[in-house]
Amino acid sequence: MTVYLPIAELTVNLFLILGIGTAVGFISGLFGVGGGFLLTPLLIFSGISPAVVVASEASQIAATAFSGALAYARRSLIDYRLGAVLVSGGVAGSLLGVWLFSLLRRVGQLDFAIGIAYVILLGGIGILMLKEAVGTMRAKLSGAPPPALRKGGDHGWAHGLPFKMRFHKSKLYMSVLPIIALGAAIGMIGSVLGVGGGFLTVPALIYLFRVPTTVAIGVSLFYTVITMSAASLLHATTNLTVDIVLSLLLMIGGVVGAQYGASVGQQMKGEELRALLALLILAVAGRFFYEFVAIPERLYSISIPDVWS
Amino acid sequence: MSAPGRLLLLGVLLANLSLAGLVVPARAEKLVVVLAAERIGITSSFSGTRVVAITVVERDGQSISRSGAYDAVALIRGPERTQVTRRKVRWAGLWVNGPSRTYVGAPTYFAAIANRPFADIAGDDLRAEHNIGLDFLRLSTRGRLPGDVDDKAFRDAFVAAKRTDGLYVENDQGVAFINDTVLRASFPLPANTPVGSYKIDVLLLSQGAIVARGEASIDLVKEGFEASVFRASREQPLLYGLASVVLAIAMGWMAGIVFRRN
Repeated sequence: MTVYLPIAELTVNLFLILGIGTAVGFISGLFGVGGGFLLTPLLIFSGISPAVVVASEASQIAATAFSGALAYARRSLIDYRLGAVLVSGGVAGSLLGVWLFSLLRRVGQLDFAIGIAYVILLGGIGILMLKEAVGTMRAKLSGAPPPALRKGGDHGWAHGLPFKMRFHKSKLYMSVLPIIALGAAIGMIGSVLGVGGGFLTVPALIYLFRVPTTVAIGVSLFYTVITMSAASLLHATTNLTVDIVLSLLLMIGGVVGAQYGASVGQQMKGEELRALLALLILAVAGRFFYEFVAIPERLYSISIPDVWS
Repeated sequence: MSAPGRLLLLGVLLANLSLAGLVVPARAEKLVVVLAAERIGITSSFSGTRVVAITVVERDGQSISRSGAYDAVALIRGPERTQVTRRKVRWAGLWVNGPSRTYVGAPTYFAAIANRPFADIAGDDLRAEHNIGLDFLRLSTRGRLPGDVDDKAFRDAFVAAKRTDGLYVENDQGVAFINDTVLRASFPLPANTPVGSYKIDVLLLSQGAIVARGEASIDLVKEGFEASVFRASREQPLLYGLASVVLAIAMGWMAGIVFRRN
């Protein structure tokens, strides 16, 4: 059974798209990540243009993050204050990202930029996560207590900066400047790569700002809902590449898959999950890296620069 | 054919227009092209289609007698757009997009079909003049350097990539004469065919020269829901964007309720 995507102007297999949405949803539920880093390459490999993929999956990521955020809000694990500061940087970053996206598309280097960013970001994060997860597993085997994340009396590295603010739920008292900068960087990366950035936000909040893990995930979900909604709106008005039919199909698969993923994830140990996720991230990074170094199958590519103008 | 209406009959009607007393033309074959359907609607289940053309050739009483049979070529041109071909180059050990050629106003779809090999039908000059065959399709480049040896490589790569996508078609068995004066031509429009107007040119040849021409056009348009979605995204981008956000929030909220675990 096929379905015609009105903005992508292409007929796709309905079950393939639903299947991709469900599989990525399962992984996102399993590991508590948005899954955009898997969705973008899978959809591009299935023949949809990167411009449409990145713009259309923004609303799918917002939908998945919103259902997750609801669960965290019920358990009052969202620090709205920290979220709002992060978002103020994120919206500015998204604006910059959508502009950068148009620019890269115009000069024909969008594929290269997306690919190289995937290799560097995913490769880096994957290696760090794998190291940490294996370290925890080893420590558990040898019976030693896992290293504590937050040491008493540690005020962090950004102690000297102005505009300090107190974030009760996150147990933080710090300058808003590094938080805004983090939000802007992730917002920009997210709207160029079509990822929510959860895989960057959560570790950044935990390791850089020493926010407790559950609160970090809650804030990340809140942040993702807002920035991905903004990115969706911006892509719809500037690049005109949001395919709402594609978004809907991905959402249906995504929310269903996420529920099964979450219930499987609850039966696994944290460090095992993190090690698996790290391997998955490294596999995606490796796939992109291979594209860059292997002799290309097609040396030439065709693009239609102003198809939407 | 999967559904009625998929098969479009392009009838080139035999129109007996020769009226008594008119000046007798030197070449008296006539092709009057009439389409059975002038538009193809793209709906959610569109998976490509095949357009079939039935052409009738009329020879009136004054026709100079020709030795040998006719040949026929049909050329179909889709909407024209500027298209860029890029070549990957090795840069610091990585393959990245390098030099490019921009083809201005190149057809997004092009089909050349005939009843026998193009080279047997017409000479190179005539083929070049009328775009008969993919090798002779005129593609104008922007910013071309004179004597650039790379040009042919880019052109070949462009045409090859379009052929792979099914958007450039060449078939020397796509036209068949049913009898001396009736011929049938068919060409495929794949699922990724761009919407827009398609111009169909039928050329009747005899001994390497064109003796008659007929033309028609067919519109490929989005219909129903698909058309409304596309129009909304272009005419009301802000509302369209808001709709996608509302949809996301509603879906997430519904999922939160349906799958709520306590």
